[in-house]
Amino acid sequence: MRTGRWLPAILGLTASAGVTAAYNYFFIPPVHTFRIADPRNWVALAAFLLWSLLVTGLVVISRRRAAEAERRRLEGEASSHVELLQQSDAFKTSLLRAVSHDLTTPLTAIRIQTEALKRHAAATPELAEAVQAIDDETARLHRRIDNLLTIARLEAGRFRPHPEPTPPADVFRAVRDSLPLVFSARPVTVSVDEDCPDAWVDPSLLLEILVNLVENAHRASPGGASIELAARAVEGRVHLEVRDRGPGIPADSDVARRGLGLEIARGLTVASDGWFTLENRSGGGAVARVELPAAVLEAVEERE
Amino acid sequence: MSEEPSVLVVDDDPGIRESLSRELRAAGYDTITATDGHTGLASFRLHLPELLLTDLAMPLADGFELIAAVRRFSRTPIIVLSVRGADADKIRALDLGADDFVTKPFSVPELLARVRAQLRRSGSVTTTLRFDGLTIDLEHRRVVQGEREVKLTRTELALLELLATHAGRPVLMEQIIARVWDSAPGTTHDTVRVHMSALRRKLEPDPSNPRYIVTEPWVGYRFIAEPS
Repeated sequence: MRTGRWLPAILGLTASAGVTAAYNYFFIPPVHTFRIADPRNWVALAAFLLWSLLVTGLVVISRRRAAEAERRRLEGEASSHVELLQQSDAFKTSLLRAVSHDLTTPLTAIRIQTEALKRHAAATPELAEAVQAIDDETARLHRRIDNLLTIARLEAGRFRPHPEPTPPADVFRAVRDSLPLVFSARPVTVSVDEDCPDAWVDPSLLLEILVNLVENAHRASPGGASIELAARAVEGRVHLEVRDRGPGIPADSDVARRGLGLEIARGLTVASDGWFTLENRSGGGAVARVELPAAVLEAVEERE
Repeated sequence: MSEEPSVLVVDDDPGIRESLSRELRAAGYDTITATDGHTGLASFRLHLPELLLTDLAMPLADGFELIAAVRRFSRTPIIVLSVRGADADKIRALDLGADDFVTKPFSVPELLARVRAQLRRSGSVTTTLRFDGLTIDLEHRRVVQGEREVKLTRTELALLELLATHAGRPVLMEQIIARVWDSAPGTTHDTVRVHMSALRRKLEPDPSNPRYIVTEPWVGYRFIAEPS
């Protein structure tokens, strides 16, 4: 570092001495000697040396200044980068909150207003149907936005799943409450094995996973075909399956064609320390499977 | 004052406030509105409504302050409008004395059902609770589901009684531990879960489709059957 700092100065001084000597040797009479006959030429030589030293000095100083400025710039950049990161974290959090509030509030208002429309439209079946469709689609949009916000929160580290012992039957019931249309449009069978333990998972995330899978199965299935929801214990883990009789797994991996729902389900399963698989079902259709750890409850003695 | 039960709606968003109170009026309630905790409290003191419906995040005094202030002098039922992903807020509001919550986006029928459940809370002293397909005779400690008598242990019956007398409303884990176990040291959420799962196994005719008791994520449990 120190030699590096002084190297330009040393080089400059050496060069100055060198060219002064060369000037003397080649141009000051008697030439081809280092002697100087005319005393006036000493003055010329001194001026030459002085000029050379001056240039060397200026170059060294300007180089130092440039290096210093560059160092400051890098330091400044680094610290402002850290600051920026901290700000962007806080920014992300507040942005998420704002987006969540600003998207959720108008949607909630729309859904309440739709309720008023429904009342007035009750007498006209055609209108009632249209209003119901608006309501259903708004609910679906709301859910999607919620799902995407949840994934964004998980990614930003703003939300960590809160696993708790979750009975599969409770979640299946909540799925039915969330998707009344699907359950009234086609047969949906629910089965929970008697020895199936509770899953160790955040119940709100599991609900979203299953709602997305059931919606997806509903869209893929021909009219009237049934969907099966099943929970069972497999090697100390809980397997939750959504089985349909649709066309099976699409060959391409294009998200646009497979639908956002599957990606949301996969993302939320991974965030829940679960394992997500999608396979073709024997006899046609697909099976989406969410494998989760089982909750362990210590047996407690009855206090009588 | 009119005959209809009155509901005070406190929300800072005019769209929700106005449309919500219109739906409540359509369902036969009198409504009063306020835009924040301060005016909400003033309005509550003035009108003494039968039920308070409040948002949590509001400018000036927020919903938490309003709940705490109201609970200092009134036992009027309070339902909170919460946003998804704010479980801690939900529990804090219930701890402060709120009785129930709905999560935005809620459907209006769901909200109206919660309002009815709160207003039904009459504090009657009947010793027999009757629900669809379920009779709980507290005096003789007999529980009949459908045609069969369900044999429950003392703890399970105490759990069922606590939940059934709060039908339609969430019961917090801490409330269960306090009421059923007298806050005995060493009683954990897992203790409650074990007994609750035993109770549910005995009570529910179809375990894959619970009719009576469901878990309320991150809060506790809720008895869902309608009184008959």
